[in-house]
Amino acid sequence: MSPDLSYLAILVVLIPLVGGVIAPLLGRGIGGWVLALVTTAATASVSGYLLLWILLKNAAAFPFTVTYPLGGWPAPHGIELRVDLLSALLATLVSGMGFIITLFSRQGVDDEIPADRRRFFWSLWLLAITGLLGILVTGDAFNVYVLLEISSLTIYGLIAMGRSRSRQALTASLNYLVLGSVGASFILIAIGLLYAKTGTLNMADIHARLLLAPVDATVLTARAFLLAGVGLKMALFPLHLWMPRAYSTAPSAVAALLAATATKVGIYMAMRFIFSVFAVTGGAVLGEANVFIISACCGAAIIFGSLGAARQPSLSLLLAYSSVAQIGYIVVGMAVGHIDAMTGSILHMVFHALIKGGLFLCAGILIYRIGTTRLEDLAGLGQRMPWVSGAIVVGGLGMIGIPGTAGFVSKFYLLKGLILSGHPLMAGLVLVGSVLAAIYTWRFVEIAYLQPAKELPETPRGLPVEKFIPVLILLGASIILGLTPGPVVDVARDAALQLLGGTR
Amino acid sequence: MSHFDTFNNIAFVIIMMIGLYTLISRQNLVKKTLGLGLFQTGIFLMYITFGVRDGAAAPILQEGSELTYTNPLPHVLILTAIVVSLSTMAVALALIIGIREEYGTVEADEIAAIDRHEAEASS
Repeated sequence: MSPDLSYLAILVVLIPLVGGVIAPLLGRGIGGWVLALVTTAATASVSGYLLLWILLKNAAAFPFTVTYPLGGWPAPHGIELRVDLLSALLATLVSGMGFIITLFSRQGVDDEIPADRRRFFWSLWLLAITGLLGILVTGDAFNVYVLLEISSLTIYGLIAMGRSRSRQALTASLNYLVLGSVGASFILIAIGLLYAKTGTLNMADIHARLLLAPVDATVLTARAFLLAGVGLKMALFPLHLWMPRAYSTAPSAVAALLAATATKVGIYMAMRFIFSVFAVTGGAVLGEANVFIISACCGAAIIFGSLGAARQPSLSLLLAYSSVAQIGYIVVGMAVGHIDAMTGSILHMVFHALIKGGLFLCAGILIYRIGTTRLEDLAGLGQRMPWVSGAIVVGGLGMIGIPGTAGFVSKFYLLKGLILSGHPLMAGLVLVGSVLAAIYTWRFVEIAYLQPAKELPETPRGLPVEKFIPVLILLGASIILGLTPGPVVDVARDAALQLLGGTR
Repeated sequence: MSHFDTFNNIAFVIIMMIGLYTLISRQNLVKKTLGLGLFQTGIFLMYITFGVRDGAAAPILQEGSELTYTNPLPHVLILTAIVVSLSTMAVALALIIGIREEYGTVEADEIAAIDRHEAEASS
């Protein structure tokens, strides 16, 4: 009889919540950063431990799901935390990325945030992570909405803190606030309609009751509102308009956190609701018309995102538009509902978080050293900063999906799934997207290595080791996972299998 | 379904649409924010209407009586949603104050023009 570790699920949310409440009480010094570092390290350990426990249990009996009734009130009347393999995997990803980016950000936050705001920065930072992790572990539909708003409101504040570098951060933040609130309100409407239909808010219970009732207009309307709402939250084309400016004007640490985790959690919500709530019959979850519409959005996201990335004047904007395309890959893998495509989709969520997080950290180093990411100011970067530009090229190769990088593994499964499930056109678009990724990566290579170095207005600062180590960890992990993908693929496959309701 | 339900269901859609239209059509950021608030208020009315039953009593358990009760859960949910909506409005207005300090205007089109002008000047 192994010990019951289900209380770990609530710790994942409680630790950063307590940290976020304590942070404003600390002074102006280094305290906020230390607290954030300790808190995110503890959270990452707890989620990692939870993931290991689930893997261990899965090896004995598949599938295993952790449930934890809050306050001892049993579901469906009480609020229940519900962690399966996918939740635990993404919780580990989110808290691990939170830790690594916190490690990166001490100096950057000192540079970019005024002294009297720093402790509030760290408070918002931890609360944003709390909200994101909460969405991953909760099993209650209304809880999802509340935690979504906790993470969103704190992220609006974090983006607006980019104000001291660029005043456009304020308009970008308000723009995101308006669109994000409309998206969250759509999700609220969907949850309301589901509640009106089933009389319960527990997601597993809603699913069980939807199975008994015929699919009617209420359920279809709820699903439409939900897909539109999460589409806004995960910045799926054409609902991505808030995203590039928010990413490029936010403080560099915030941009990395957003790109690596926030949109991923949006996609998780889509997966959770589509496959664990609305799924009426095994595999064919979305009707053909829905799959067509979502695929069309994803195809457009891949093409227009990549083309947009090739035309941007700055590295931050280039990375943001590239994220629009990458979300297209992830969502199309989810929408077709095929096991291989879903595996590729989950793998791409993890790998894209590592690679794009690493690239945004590189952009953060550029801001720290030369105060800009405008491509024309990066001429000759290969000689001036060989390590950083080398890292950006490695990340770019990962985004193209060169064999040997993690991007190759996820795209391989994505392509396999798309072809096997009869979507050759989408498979073709994924390949076209990779070629376009090569074009925008080449654009950076050309500027950094083939153009003569520009005269610098002032002496740049040296390469800070504590900033480069996180970049090395993230991009190194993407290479190592690209060379030895076995274990991660197995985990992603099991998570996909559990989500699609299959057995091993 | 009672007349009360029908009236409410029509009313909340109208309120939501007025809010959404204001949000989309106005350039003034404060008016946009008010539109957002109105939109969310419409959703609150939708939830409240779900809990209503004709001739039902307040949901307080009474000894030995077989009353029909209204459902209190939507009201509780909406209390939470009202707090969220209030916080959203507060954050939005705080951002608008910041925008007014930086740009000297709260009209979205004027702000876009200033940004465009600045981008042209720097390149």
